[in-house]
Amino acid sequence: MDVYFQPVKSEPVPVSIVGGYLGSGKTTLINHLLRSGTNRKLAFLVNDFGELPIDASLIESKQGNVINLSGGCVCCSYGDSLSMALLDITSMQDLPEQIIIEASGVALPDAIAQSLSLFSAMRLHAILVVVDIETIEANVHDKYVGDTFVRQIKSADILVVNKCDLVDQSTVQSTEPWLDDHYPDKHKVFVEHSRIPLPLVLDTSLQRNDWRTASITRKNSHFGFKQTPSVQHSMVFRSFTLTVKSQINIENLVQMLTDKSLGLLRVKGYLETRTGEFILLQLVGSRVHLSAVQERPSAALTGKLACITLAQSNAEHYLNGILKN
Amino acid sequence: MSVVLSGGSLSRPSASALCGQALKSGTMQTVTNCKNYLCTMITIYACKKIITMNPARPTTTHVAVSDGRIIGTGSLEELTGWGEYTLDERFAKKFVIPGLVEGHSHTMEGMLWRQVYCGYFDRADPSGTIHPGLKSLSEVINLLNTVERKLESATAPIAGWGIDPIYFSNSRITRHDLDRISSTRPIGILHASVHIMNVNSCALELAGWLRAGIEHPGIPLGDDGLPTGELKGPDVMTPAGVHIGFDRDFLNCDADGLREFSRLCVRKGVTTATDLASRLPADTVESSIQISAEPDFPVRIVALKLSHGSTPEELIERVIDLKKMSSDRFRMGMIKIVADGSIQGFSARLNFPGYLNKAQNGLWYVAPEQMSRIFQLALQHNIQVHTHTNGDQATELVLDLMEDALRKHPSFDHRFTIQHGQLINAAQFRRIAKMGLCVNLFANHHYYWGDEHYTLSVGPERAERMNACRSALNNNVPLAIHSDAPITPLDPLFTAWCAVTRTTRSGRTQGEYERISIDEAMYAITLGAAYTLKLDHEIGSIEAGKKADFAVLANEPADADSLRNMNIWGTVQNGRVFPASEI
Repeated sequence: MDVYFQPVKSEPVPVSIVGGYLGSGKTTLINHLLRSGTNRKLAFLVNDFGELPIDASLIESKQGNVINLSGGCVCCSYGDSLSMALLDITSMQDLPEQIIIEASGVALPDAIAQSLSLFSAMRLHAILVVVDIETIEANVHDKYVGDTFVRQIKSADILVVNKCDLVDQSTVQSTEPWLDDHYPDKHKVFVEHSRIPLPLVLDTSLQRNDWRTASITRKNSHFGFKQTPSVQHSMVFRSFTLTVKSQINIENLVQMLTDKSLGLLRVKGYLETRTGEFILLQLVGSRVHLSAVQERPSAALTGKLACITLAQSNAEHYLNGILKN
Repeated sequence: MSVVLSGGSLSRPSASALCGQALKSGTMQTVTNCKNYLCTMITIYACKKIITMNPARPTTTHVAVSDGRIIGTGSLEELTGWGEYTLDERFAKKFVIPGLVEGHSHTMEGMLWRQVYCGYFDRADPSGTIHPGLKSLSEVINLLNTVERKLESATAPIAGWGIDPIYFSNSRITRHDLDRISSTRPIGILHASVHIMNVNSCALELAGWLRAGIEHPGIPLGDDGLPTGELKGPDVMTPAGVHIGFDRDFLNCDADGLREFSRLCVRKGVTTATDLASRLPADTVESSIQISAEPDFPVRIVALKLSHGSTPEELIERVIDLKKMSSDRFRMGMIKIVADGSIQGFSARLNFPGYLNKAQNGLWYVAPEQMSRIFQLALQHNIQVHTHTNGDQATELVLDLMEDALRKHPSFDHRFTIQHGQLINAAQFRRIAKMGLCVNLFANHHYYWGDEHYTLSVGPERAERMNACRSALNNNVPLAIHSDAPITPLDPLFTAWCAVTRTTRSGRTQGEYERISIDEAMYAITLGAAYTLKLDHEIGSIEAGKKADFAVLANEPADADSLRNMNIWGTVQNGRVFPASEI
């Protein structure tokens, strides 16, 4: 578990890293974010534009390795010099609301995360590592890339086990305990076409309608994709809100929320501390980020933690029971 | 008789103008009807000795040149059959060998000389000025202090390069050391490896890193919890380097840099050099073609496109285009792939038993699937690929993927080349031979860092067979050897000395068995390197039909010592004469 206490002057830009081996579905995930039509100004840093079929009508301008999209999003291919691309972004007049980095297929996401610590205008939001369920065991044992692959998995806050539609149910059923055996502290989600709830990647609202629509919508599909969602997110994920008393012991609360067996994938909300300060709590899988809030949030928002879990999780019931006392 | 052609001039006096005034007696009939393609003037150079690299006439005294190409070698009598000629005797006391070919260098060295040289070894800059090696950290500080005093602005940066703390009994340099020079201006020194940089407090502050809470393996912290000023790896060097005056895109050489690089080439007898890993963006390509076409540009550059940053399909398409844009002096149309990191940086991919210090295995810089795709597309489109491997596991991967690619796209004479290949073992050389690959081994590395490999990185046995030139030749693998300039100095004759003696910096012979002969080493830096670039039909030896590319030497490269201490007069490139003293 990583906990970051960070006093904030101007709020740093949250950065999500999407890692995983070549062919696991990282680009599909980026596509999915691009076409989901959030109204946020996002900056996408990708290795190359090759697999990103961006609709020409969306492109406002293209200069070298930077594509400006209508709506304020920007796409940048960084090749082998990610730190140069990050430098460029920090020098932008109008900083994006969030940055999403697509790591190269052999990159180590935790090494990229370490580079982010060098930019005070940015903070790491989450590391998602996408793996292809068909090839995960073969990759782990590969003579050449096995150790790289394992290091990628180990760096994940959430492991996105992708392409579940391409295998039969028994494979999914046998992969889950195998992963639990080998990587017991990893949060895992089993998905198709890299379709995960947007709040797992983006620092966006966790309102149920918001993330459910955003993650399965076929509207706003500027990118010419046909999707046939065979698994509704509501069957896989659920969201709820926890009410937390003011002046709670934050450390105890964080410990509670990060109990892996609860399967909390995402938590976000404002809390009042015992000393009367306000804190924004953000959890993505095994990563927790706490930041002091300058302006007092509205009373209606304070003490409310929006949560996303897997559908079968009993976290809501369990946590409500504890928090009542 | 005196010289007719002035050094570096493209304009040629007409034949008739020369008749009578400059021609020695004994010239044949005047060419009146210019149907023959040899209608331009013939110059015959009389030399003390020409080492041709043509086994059929290995040494001779005269070479006849017309329109930048060789029309024959031999005695003066043998060459008179071509008709009217000018006898040029300026090399009468010189030794002429084929123009040297540097098969693995980076033209950006031409840009580095704008900064202060802080290396341990004496090194000549493009103007030929020798910068004395600095033997201690205080000598480095003293030099930078001198530079500092000449600067007018109090905030102007100072950038140095070429330092290697290994030679200062491996002591760490800190920001406090550099703060002694100035606390108001950013100061940075790039290491000889080009993978580490030392900066002062001011530079750290400008990068926003002079604060607690930095957590990065490339930024060691001092006892005070603040960075020591050592920055390891491009990820951390780039954001700080831009404040010091290091170009953010390090690998793209600009116009002036290219000119400076070409001067280094002339001083070392090099007439063809590679720029082995350029991103080759459109503006760099345009300016390089333009600069290299200048009448006095003295060297042929072969620029390989780095594979990073585009899909294999885009890459092939771009390289096919680049190939068409090539000019005689700026050749493109080949691909460079970087498979792994470096051995001394512990980022190379090693097979069992791995690193001596039990460090975890290194990094892949490209996914095997991507490399495989590039190999296959390149074979399909007859595009040549050079792949950087340092560790033996990286080499093994190249061989596995190549075997598969060749089965799918059977190709003869593809000449795909492994660059560095420092840890290639005997079994791998046997496979390399069977698949028709070439190797370009890093002979200079052995001299500069061989001792460290022996004691720190891979241990004695493997250190003794690093850059195994003998094994390559024993397996009939086409061999080139290189400097990787600016990592080590561009100087193929020195590189040859390294391969011949396998002497390390401490003076030990490391790996007696892997030594090669002087003749073999001379071949490796001429025809050998030309072969890996598919240019051996044009350059690499002095024989009829080839480019008139010569290195002109004051002494005969007769023994190993003469290779290392050669006095190089200059070059002839494509028939144009470039004395080093005038470059």
